[in-house]
Amino acid sequence: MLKVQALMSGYGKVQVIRGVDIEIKEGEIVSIIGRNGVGKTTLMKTIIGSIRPMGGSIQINGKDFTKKQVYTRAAEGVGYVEQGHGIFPALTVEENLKIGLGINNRKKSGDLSVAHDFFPILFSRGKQKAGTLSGGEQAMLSIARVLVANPKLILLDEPSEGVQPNIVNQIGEIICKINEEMNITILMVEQHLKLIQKISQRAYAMDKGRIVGSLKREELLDQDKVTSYLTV
Amino acid sequence: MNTFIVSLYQVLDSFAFLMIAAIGLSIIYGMMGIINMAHGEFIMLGAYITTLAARWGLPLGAAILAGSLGVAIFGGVIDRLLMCRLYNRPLDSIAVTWGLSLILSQGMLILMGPTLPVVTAPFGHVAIGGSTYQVYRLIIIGIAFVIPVILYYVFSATRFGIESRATMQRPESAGMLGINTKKMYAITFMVGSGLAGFAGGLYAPTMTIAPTMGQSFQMQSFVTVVVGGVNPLVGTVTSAGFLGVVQGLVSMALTSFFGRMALLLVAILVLRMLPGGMSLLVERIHERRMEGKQANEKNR
Repeated sequence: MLKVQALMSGYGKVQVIRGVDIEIKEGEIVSIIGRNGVGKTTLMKTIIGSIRPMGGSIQINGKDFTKKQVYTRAAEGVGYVEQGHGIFPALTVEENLKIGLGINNRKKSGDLSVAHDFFPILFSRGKQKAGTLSGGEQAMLSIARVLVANPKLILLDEPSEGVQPNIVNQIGEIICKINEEMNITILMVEQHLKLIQKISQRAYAMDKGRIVGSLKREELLDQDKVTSYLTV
Repeated sequence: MNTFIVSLYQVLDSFAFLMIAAIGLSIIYGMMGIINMAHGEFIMLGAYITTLAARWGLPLGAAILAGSLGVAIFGGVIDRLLMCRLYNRPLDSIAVTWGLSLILSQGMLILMGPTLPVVTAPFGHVAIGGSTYQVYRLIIIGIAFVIPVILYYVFSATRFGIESRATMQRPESAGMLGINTKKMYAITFMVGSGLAGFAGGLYAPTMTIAPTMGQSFQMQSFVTVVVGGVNPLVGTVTSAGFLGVVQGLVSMALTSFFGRMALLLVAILVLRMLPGGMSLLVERIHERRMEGKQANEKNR
């Protein structure tokens, strides 16, 4: 599904990602864990194409996307849920969802029923400006927005950020459900220990721009081991 | 009664001029963060194309359309050559577009000479309450009211509108979600340029066609955009309405020279008290009403 080899990237001349190899197979839920500032978000942004790589390669569904423009990923079935949710605050909830619809439905008019099934609460707020939603609702909206595009792979960057604990739990359940029922592959960057343990089938640990460990499901349940990667 | 009608006409006429002259500039600034110093010259270009097309034999309506499309295409070329490097770089865009404005006005002087024979406005005059009015100017006033309605529809109900607003708010997120932001910017620049060309074409039969004619649009459209603030549609409509009243009434009481002075004076005052311009004022009022509504719902 997704194969990243010897990937290097950064901002300007400052290199942040120093040779990352990861591979995600269809149907998996994989997490990338690590402390603040080790390059998790930069890695995700490089995979989606918002940051140009300095070296290495990115393959999606066996196709080379290393040098392709950012907007071409969506048409290949890659959905991106940004850190801080990345919703358009001055657009209404409905308009935000329509942006998602546009991605893979350039010709036919799509429908929002998937979003309705998973996130009914959003539809009572359809005409409301997305910026007025709570953190949890914004997280749901950003997931719903990529879901309506019928993606094959969703990249999630800290979906728990700014979301109250009971909603984090709910979002975790929804991610599992999306994975099982719609067979959507998930790659998630996260620091929220419970969410990582709840949904990940395996994980990569990251430090200083490199992958420093690969953890199986059993190892993820080992509190001490996971915590050692998440704390200084 | 007649004084009232004359004042109303003056106000509406000023509003129409500010609205039509500013809307293209406003869309480009609000959507792309580009301050187009060549906006007046884009208008001039529209006036030239319209006048030449009309003299060549096209009916005026078609000639104005040719002027708008011509400048839109010209804007598209400029976007590919220059502007695509300047998105959201307001200061750099000022320098580049100012240079462009000099090239355009001087180039037009070399190419077409100091003036062009005018095309006369059609439809003649009409008498209302003791004064006569040019029918063509009344039509322009009508158009000034229709433009924001059409633009409101385009930017709120069409896919292009929603995607361009998304791009304006968060270009990076828009790209990640599959929107080709460069294309959105290019189309937006073409729409803004086309509206400038439309302004030039519309006013071509009412003024002297000269390479420097853009300047008379430039000052007033800039003041309108600055007073309007970041929201292209809400800002421009409210600002053109407010400034139209000021300019129209002062022009009538004194002369049009004082009308323009009053315009600048009021602009300074507005910006002193309301740095975000009219958009911010409207937003605040809207927020307060929403809060009131929510409070009411809670009380129930």
